[in-house]
Amino acid sequence: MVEEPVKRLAVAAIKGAENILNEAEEKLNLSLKTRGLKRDINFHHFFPVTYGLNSWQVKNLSHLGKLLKDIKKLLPTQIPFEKNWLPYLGDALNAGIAAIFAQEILVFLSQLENKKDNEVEKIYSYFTKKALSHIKKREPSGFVVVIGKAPSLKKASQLVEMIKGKKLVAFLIGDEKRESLAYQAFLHPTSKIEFLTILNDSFVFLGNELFNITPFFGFLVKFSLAYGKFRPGQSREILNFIKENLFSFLLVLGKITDKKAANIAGAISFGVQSVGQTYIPQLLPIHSLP
Amino acid sequence: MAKKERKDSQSFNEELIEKAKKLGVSTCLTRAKEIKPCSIGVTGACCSLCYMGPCRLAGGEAQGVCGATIDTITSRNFARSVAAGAAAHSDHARDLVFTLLAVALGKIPGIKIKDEEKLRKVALDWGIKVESKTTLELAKEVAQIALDQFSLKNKELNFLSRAPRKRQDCWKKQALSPRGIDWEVAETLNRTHEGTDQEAESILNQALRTALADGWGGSMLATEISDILFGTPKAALSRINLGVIKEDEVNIVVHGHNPLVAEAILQVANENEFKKTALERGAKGINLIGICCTANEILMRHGIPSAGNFLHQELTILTGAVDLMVVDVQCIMQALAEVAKKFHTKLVTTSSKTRIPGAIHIEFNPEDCLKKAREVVELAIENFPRRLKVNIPSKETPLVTGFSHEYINFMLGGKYLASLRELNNSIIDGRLQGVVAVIGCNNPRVGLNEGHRYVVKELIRNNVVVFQTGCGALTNAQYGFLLPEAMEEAGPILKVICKSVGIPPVLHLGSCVNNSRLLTIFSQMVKDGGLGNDISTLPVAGICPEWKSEKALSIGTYLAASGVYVLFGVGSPVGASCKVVELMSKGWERKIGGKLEFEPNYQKIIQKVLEHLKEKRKALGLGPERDREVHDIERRRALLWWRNQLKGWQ
Repeated sequence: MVEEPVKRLAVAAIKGAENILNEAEEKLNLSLKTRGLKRDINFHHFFPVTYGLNSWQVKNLSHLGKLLKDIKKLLPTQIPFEKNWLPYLGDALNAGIAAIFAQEILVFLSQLENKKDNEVEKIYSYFTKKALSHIKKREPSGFVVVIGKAPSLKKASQLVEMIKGKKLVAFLIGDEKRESLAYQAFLHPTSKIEFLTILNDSFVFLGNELFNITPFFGFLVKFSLAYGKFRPGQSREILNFIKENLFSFLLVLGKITDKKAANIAGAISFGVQSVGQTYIPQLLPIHSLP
Repeated sequence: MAKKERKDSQSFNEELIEKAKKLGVSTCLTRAKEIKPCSIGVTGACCSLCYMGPCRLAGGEAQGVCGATIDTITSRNFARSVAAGAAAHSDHARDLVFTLLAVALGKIPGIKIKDEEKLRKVALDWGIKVESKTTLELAKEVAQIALDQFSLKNKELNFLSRAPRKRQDCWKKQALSPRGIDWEVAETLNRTHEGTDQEAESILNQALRTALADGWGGSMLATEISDILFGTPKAALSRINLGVIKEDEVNIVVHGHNPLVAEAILQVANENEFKKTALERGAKGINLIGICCTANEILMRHGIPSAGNFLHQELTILTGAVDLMVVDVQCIMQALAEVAKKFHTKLVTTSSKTRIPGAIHIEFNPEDCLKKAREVVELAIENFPRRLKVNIPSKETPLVTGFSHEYINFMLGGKYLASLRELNNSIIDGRLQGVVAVIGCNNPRVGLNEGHRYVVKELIRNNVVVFQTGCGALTNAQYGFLLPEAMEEAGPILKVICKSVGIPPVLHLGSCVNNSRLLTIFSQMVKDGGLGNDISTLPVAGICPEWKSEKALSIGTYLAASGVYVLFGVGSPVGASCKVVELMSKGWERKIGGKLEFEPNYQKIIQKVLEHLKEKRKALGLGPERDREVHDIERRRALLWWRNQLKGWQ
């Protein structure tokens, strides 16, 4: 039997999530050694997705280890078998959201490292303005997160024009090779800009690492908490609000790697579907929750 | 393909039946051929309630000695069967409630609450405050309220509040809301005593109410408490068929219905001391296997393999490799003792309610279940060296099990989007025709499993997703229907759904009492929206192709009372009375939205069910393919545009 695209994606997502969690664990352990345990964290500021969907609280760096253990519980215990497999959709969705939670740790550590912890707020304000206009059926028509780089500079320009033509706001991030559309279309190769930069009215560079996609989900959750007037932990209501009110999708350039697959699966929980240079099957669920 | 399959699945049975003949032992399959059912009793026209009879009524105008008409007699017989079935499920529930209470009071140190989250949920549903209470405190309160459900005072059964509001109103209006589980059973026996209730409709109303006391009372309690104590099932891979019996291991077969016995044996069989003793006796290990509904319970929760369904119980012993068969209640053939005598197999009864001449009795109570489990395992290991010749058929089939209602929600949305919304939307969008539960027993009078196999095959071919329980599930597992690969036999729409989620086209929900999971799922389908405001508006149905047990009649009746169209195969126990047949069909449909019919022809069953699903869909205004909501269409178009643009980018 030829492997099903959804099953292939689910397997990749679960593997990708495991890799992301392992990476988060390694970097966290290193950071704890170098920075010590006692540093306090403004948790809801740096971890809006984890906090918003779960109302988990983490007071300082030393507690992030426990948080990671809780996130690991979301991972399935096995990859779907080749034959006689168990249902894979629920597991893939869980793995995806676990990857996003773990990526918040990676983003936090990277922001600490680069002293960019205040830049997110600027971009969130920018996002809020755009989102409010979008909700009122004005521009933008939606939001797109572009992962990776186009196959050529010509295609990169075409892509930028298509995004402008469709009146979308685009968030650009790198892939596992740290290559992104931002450097093809906007930034000079020698530019020292790493991440969290508003490039112009419709394009924002979130960063060169794949995990830099995470602040985008953070914006969605923060917006939902503020304008939907929900409490942290009301995950179903928050995710439903996002799905109903904010049209967004991932545009995945290049091959679908395991880590990209994990983010594709994680995005589904936010009602964010994916399109790609290679075929990406549509994952359920696609309807709003009751 | 069908003929070869049939031969493969039946050939091992035929070998063992031949072996039985040579040993001079009968099996239920041969006895079913030799013993003809009474032609009067089989249609419900025999009354044996009092010693003025038994009265055999032949012909529409006939009366019993007391003057009871055919309508009264058939409806009484039916109601008594429902009460017996309800009592079986509910007494099973009571045993589990006592077990929960014993755990809560610390009387069973080796057994812990496995699903604390479910315990909290049930407690919250029942209005119990959960803050700052320990798990054991909550368990005690839940157990005490559960015990009260058996005879309430001026209150309704707690679980009735799970049903859609419209369904609850219907029950109130028709005076069908049960007043207490034991109360309804006792009243049915009173009403159907000679010289009491003599109007068929009134008797059948009581049958409905008694069945509801089972479905939303006894069975639901048994399901929820088993999940709390032993774990709520989630998807697992396992195996079925006689090939799961092992030549080089101590084989312990657990048979019956109460999961406590099987759980206790499972726990102790893993102890190192027993593994060591087994090795000393020449066995490589201890192999725990299930038969019938206990099989379903440990299969769903632990993936413990099953040797087969109700019809396999004698055949397992005939392999010569079963060192011990331990039984508790219901569906245990008395003939097992005779078959066991021809082999080294020890037959052990464990319930105070079950004694079998020739069996060893080791009585399990909740407080000493682990101690008694050790006795059973020791006995089995001791017996291993006494084996004579074995012939174990090699066939075993994998299956995917574990579809509790909680897991079905999870598999459709993960932790954060768990719901049945995608199931509903698949039905609304015209892709799935509906959901049909294929449940119940095996009956040796209708051939080997053919009813179950045919019905399920036709349903999935017609894009209907199937939920299965009990021996019916174990039957179709043997044919490979409980594997995701079975989607190749499904219609194109169901196939796509199966691929999107990774599921088989047939989902295994558990044991007989777990038919109450259907009530929970159907209620949630109504709540999740888009399919009307009652269970009776859903495009769902129930089929019991090979019924034999009174429990099956209770299940069918509680599904009908909950608004579901139910069809039973084999034959009709009320066929002698046209009035009763009409009351249970059109009469009930008018009154409660559900109905129960008997139809021995499987093709007609399929026809009727598919027609019914179509009617329900039409009443909901569901066409073949419905337009999605407007903003959804715009978004889909946008994504499609991008997909087309990126096609061919290298």
